[in-house]
This record gives sequence, C-alpha cells and structure tokens, in this order.
Amino acid sequence: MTVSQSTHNSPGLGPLPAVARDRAADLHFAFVGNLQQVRVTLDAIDAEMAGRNLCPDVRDNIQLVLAEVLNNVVEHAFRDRADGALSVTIEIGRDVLHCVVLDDGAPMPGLEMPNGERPEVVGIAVEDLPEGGFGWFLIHRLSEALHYERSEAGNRFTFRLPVARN
Amino acid sequence: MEIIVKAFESATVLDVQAPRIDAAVAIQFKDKVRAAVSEGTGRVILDLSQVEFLDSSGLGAVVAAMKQLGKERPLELAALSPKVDKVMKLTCMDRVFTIHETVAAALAPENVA
Repeated sequence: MTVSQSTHNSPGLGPLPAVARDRAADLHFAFVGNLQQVRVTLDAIDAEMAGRNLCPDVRDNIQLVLAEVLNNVVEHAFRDRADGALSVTIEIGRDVLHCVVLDDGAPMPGLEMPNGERPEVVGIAVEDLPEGGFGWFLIHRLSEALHYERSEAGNRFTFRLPVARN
Repeated sequence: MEIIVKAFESATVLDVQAPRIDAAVAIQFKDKVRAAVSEGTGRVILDLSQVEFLDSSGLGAVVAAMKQLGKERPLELAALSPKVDKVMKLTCMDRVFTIHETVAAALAPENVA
C-alpha cells in the first residue's frame, strides 16, 4: 500500500495576485483507510509542515485533529472494511489551513457529528471514568468551522485550523 | 511496542518504548500493561518519556489501564512530552492522574505514600 501525494501546480502564467492563495502549497493524500496508513499520512503531513515555519503548537494541533478525524473514519465509517477510500486535502492559506477529509464509508449515526462536549472526568470515581468521547471533543476544541456533509459518494468533513507562524 | 518493567521498592515503573500511543496500538498497549503488572503490588508509574504523541484512543487506553489496576495499584504518569501534556490538560485528565515531572521525582521519598 502506498500513500499518494500530489502537489498542485499554479495554473496560468505570471505572478498570482497578492490575494490568491498559494495553490502550489496545497497537499493531497489519498490512501486505503487503515490505522497504519493514517500514521504514515500524519507523518508525511507533519514533515510538510516542518518546513513552513509554523509555531510548534500549531503543528501539534494539526497532527492531533487530523489523527482524530482520520482514525474516526477508519474505526467507525470503515468498521467492517479493509478497502475504504480515504483522502485528505489541505489548502494552505496565510492564516489558516482549510482541510477536507473524504471517505466512502458508512454515514455518521443520525447524519450528524457527535457534539464536542468534554467528557466529565473530574470528581468521577476511577471505575466510572470514560475511556472514549475525547476524540470529538478535541476535534471541536482545536478546529474552526467544522462541518459534516453526507452525499452518495460518502462522508465529507471540512474544518479550518488556525495558523500562527514563528 | 515494548514496555520495560522496572521494579523499585516504592513502585513499579513501566517504561513505554514507543513514540506514539495511538489508535493503531491502543489495544496492544492495554495488553502489554496488563501483562507487565500481572505480578507485584503497590503504585505503578507509567514512564512516558519516549512517547511523543498520544491521541484520544491512546488516552482511552491509559484510562483503561488505570481502571484495570484498581484502587490498590494507583497508576501515575511521569515525564510527559509537551504534546502528551497538552492532551492531558485539554481533557482535564491532568486533574485525574497524578503526574510527575520525571520518573526520579515520582520515586522520590516525598512522593511515596
């Protein structure tokens, strides 16, 4: 299994207008949805981010949010499948990353994302502590403009990650 | 993933030899911890100094390990990397676990009940 990565080239000739985003910086990864490939993809994305002078905190958030979204797809949308198609596209803007995650797996229950409430842990007896529910909390907490859409093709998650540069 | 077990008088230290505790290894982690603590008594210190990344599945596995150990064998954490520390703080799990700066601090006499 391989992870394919394509870097889009700027269309047209001559300099882009100052307001245009840098299309050459867009990242796209398409892969078979399993947990190992998610790791490989996260490492590849982190390597891309390493050269972009981002605050360490921003890089960490990107890793964490993408890990949660992609692992969620593998563990739930692809629960009974080893051949799920998963892709992540990151459009790199000046102050924000626009992320799109597509999969051809099962829909979210009720066609809605779980809410982002933090599981109650403080003052809870050890034996009653939650072991799950942290993923969607982290996604909601660290991303912006989180949106889920179901179509015939599958699931589409979009979100933004704010970027602060060094 | 390997977990090295180090038995000290005041605690058992589990040194997690893996850069990530994530969805891909969460079940393996739980099994390894269970095997590592099958003998012995008292506190268990999870040495996370090698662990650079913890996601929600990894956090769930650490919580599961703590529940499995039960009240007689409290699970404490040591040597959190910045990313792991951040996940603990965001989820408020830093208020659930006893967290030590280093393994040495965890084993220091003042931290032994």
